[in-house]
Amino acid sequence: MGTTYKALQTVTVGAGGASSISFTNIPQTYTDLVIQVSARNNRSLYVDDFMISINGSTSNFTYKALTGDGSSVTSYNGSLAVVGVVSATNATANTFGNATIYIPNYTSSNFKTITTDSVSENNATSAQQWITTTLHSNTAPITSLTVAIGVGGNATLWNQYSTATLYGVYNVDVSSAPAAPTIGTATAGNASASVAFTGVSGASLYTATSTPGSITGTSTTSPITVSGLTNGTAYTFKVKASNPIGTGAESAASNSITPINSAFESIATINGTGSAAYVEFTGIPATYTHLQIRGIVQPNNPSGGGFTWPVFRLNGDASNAYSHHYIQGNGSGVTGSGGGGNQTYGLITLSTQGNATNVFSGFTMDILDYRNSSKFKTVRTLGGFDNNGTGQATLSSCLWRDLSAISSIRIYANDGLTLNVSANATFALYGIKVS
Amino acid sequence: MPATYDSIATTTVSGTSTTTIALTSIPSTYTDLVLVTNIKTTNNNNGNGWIRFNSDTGTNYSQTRLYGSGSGAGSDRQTGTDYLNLNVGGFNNGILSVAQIYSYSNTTTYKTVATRINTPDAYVSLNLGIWRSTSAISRIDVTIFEGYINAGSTVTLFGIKAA
Repeated sequence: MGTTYKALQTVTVGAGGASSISFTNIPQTYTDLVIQVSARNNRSLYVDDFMISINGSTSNFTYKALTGDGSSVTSYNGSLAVVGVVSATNATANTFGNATIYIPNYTSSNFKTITTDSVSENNATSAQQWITTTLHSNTAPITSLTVAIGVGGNATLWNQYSTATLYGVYNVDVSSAPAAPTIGTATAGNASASVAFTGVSGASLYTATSTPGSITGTSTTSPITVSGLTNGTAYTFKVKASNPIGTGAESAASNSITPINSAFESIATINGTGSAAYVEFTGIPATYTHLQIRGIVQPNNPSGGGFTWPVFRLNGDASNAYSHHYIQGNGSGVTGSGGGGNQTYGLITLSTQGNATNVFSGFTMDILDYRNSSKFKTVRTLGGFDNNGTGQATLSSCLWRDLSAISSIRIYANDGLTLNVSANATFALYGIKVS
Repeated sequence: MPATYDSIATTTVSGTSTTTIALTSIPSTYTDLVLVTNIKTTNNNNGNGWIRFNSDTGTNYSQTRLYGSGSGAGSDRQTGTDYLNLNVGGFNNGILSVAQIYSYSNTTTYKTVATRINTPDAYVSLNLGIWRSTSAISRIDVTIFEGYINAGSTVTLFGIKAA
């Protein structure tokens, strides 16, 4: 079987006319959409535009049109949701213009391009033919469409007997419903789950269904997000594939997950290798409120010393926008308390020098309001080590006088040494949300 | 991203004769542990407490403390002890401590513990302790030196899992 072309919905305007024609709950199992229009406006003096609305919006549209009226050729463009014209057909009884509106890849996450051929012939000078290309700069899959008639966005009525039919076009050669997908790993979220799977050929849509609750989510690719789950309830999921021919069998059940409202999430972890000059977190998402880095660290030559003052830079900034203060105790007194302004780095003060085998400094570093563009960024660290007779406990604070959201953090040594964190050292970055 | 800060166990003292709260069968599936103790004892003079790992009563613990008393700051140290001092305290207003237990299941490293202790009657401190053992921590005992732990005192253990 070749291309599938199926009528999905048809609207016929009744007595009294209609201001628009709408298609809702458009299935997501096809590749393209086509609207065939046979329309007649209720005005005898004007050539009226076909105006389209996608998912309830007429914003973010642009169009270009090539038109001919029997005597000249003209080109138009604009920022309206125009997809063609219907001429002043009301001037002539029983005369309807028609248009074919083609919308490829309507389920994709790309902008949508619409191609329209529209003609109106009423044996009068107002007849026109339009070839139109319209761009909708929106990435949402199309689930509803409305076509109206108007001039410059001003609606007028469709006359009685006007009709519009929505077709689904499936460009993949299929002759049967798809096979069952192979289930992957389900991962819990906040009142939601992400269900991974391996897809099958000939499928255009996948549906994950929960047990219990039969709550569903759909996607054209893996994974599927299922929302509306109850936090604290255990769920498993099965996935099935669909195409215009039908729906296939369900996969096996996934692992069990329990959604929770999480306020503390792991973003990334860097493990020590003993040879790195620094460790750096990049591409930090701007979806949290605070950040925390936790870990243990040791110089690669514990008996011979190592870096004493791990420091950090944010967003690669090496200017003197940092200031810091610290307090430190070595077991017999407060041995260090100081700080400085206009520094080129922030201080962590882990005091790892002299660590022995298997002895690692531990630290917790909090970076508050890291993406607030109205605040300088405050960082605090507690940490240190003990080695049964030596050791230090430290607290430090730092201000980075910059309003930028923090997207990268580099930790290195400030004394000319490389960081050289040994194996077993870890730097784990976490995000903290405030609801 | 997956959730990573889980409550592993919570104990609320209900009787009048509790001296030890044991957290057992700690899973090794996390990266760090956070032990939060909010405790008051019946002995207001000598109610200090401590934690032990895996029931180890050997002298394998030590710690360095940095503290502020409200009028001055200092630092001291305990070496070769058979516990990590929590200063759980028989202080009138009790004590809140939050212990960060890093890489608790790493079988190569000794275990570093950074504990923030808030004792409204006495001081605020940061204790950097170590348990010189490469065993994964599977049990934590919270114990006091004298007296009993008051009813309503709580001990909660969290697990933090890195990606």
